[in-house]
Amino acid sequence: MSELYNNFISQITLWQYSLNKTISTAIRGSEDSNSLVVYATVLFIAFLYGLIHAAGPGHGKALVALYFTKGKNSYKDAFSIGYLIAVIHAISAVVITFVLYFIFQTMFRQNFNQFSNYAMLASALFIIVIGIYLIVKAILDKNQKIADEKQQYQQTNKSKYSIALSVGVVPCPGVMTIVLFCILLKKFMLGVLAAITMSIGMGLTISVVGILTVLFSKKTEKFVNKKRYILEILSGILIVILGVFLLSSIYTSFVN
Amino acid sequence: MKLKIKLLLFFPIFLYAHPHTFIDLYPIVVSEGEIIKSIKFKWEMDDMSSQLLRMECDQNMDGKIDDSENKFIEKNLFKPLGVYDFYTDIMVKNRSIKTKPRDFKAFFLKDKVVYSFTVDINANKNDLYIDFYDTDNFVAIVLKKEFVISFVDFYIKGVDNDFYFAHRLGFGKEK
Repeated sequence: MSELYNNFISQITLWQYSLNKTISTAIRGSEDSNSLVVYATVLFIAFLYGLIHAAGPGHGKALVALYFTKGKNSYKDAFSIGYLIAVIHAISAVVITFVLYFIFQTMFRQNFNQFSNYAMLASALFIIVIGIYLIVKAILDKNQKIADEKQQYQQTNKSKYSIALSVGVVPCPGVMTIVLFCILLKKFMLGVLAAITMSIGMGLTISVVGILTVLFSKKTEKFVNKKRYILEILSGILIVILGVFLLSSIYTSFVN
Repeated sequence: MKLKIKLLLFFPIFLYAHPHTFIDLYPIVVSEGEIIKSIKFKWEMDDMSSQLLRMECDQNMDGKIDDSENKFIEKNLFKPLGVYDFYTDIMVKNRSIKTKPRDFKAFFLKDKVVYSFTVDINANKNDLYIDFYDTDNFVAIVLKKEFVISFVDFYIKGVDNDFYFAHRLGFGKEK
């Protein structure tokens, strides 16, 4: 299994290596020509790059999968959460790249690393809070049935947005690199558009993970229904553990 | 169970360890008979990372890296990678030895930024292999057979080390 996983990671890395070369060549090509075909080519490659890039480790797939194991979620929920994460990911990457570039030009990397560490810290704390919230909610729901369906729907939406925000707040360096590359070549609009299309690709991959988890939990619905309360608590606990591990890795990077 | 515990412990590495910088690695092997004396490495950064480095490091914007810029890069960008052993795990008689680079030089090659440095080895080819990998900094090292210059017989293979994927450059019999 471990070997299979590593082969998968190795293959994804090689695809990204090729796409990275292709997209930089295509963006450079757009310097000589402003034709729609060149722009469309860059954006299509950015979409593919996002699709593959998010298939590697990270981008909140583990969190999305853990969140959806607790059941009672629709495919629509899974699809929308993937895109919420991708949209926030893209906005944070574009905004931060422009701000860092125009304010701290020569110290871009140092400032980015510092900002990234703080964003990851916020993300980890946010994830822990969400996990605790899910545990408390599961206990409260068991003790007092929420009669109002609308209230329950609002609560689910709140936790869904929180999940998306907690992951999306960490800007994707992959998106930032492309945006910065375009800025340096004075292709500002192309940079923003490439960030958007790359995020659409990433959103699709993250959504697929969510949809597969929902599919899996629907298949096991009969068994799960009886244990839903336990599963909801377990999902919350695993999310807290995920947040704690993230926090520990960020602590290590701060110490180093 | 042991694997699950290990997976959990290394989960953060999985979570944020995906490449955003790609380095083409070009080793030139200096040998005498069966003894590998030293290896000169060239790291060729990908186009996008090179642009970023160019922006940060070519401070007088003359399209070259002069001595003071070279010192700046060595001190601020290259030497800090010592914490990660410069992504180079040198194994002699199955024991890891510290990577100590000398003669660091950064330069532009068309649109790319290249780091060049030499590492002394002094080991028999049959006792030596080197794994190249990164687990922390979103860097993917790419090593291909055609990138290597060596009079000593060598091999390249992918190595699955549970929590990371490494490219191995080995000499003599495959290890």
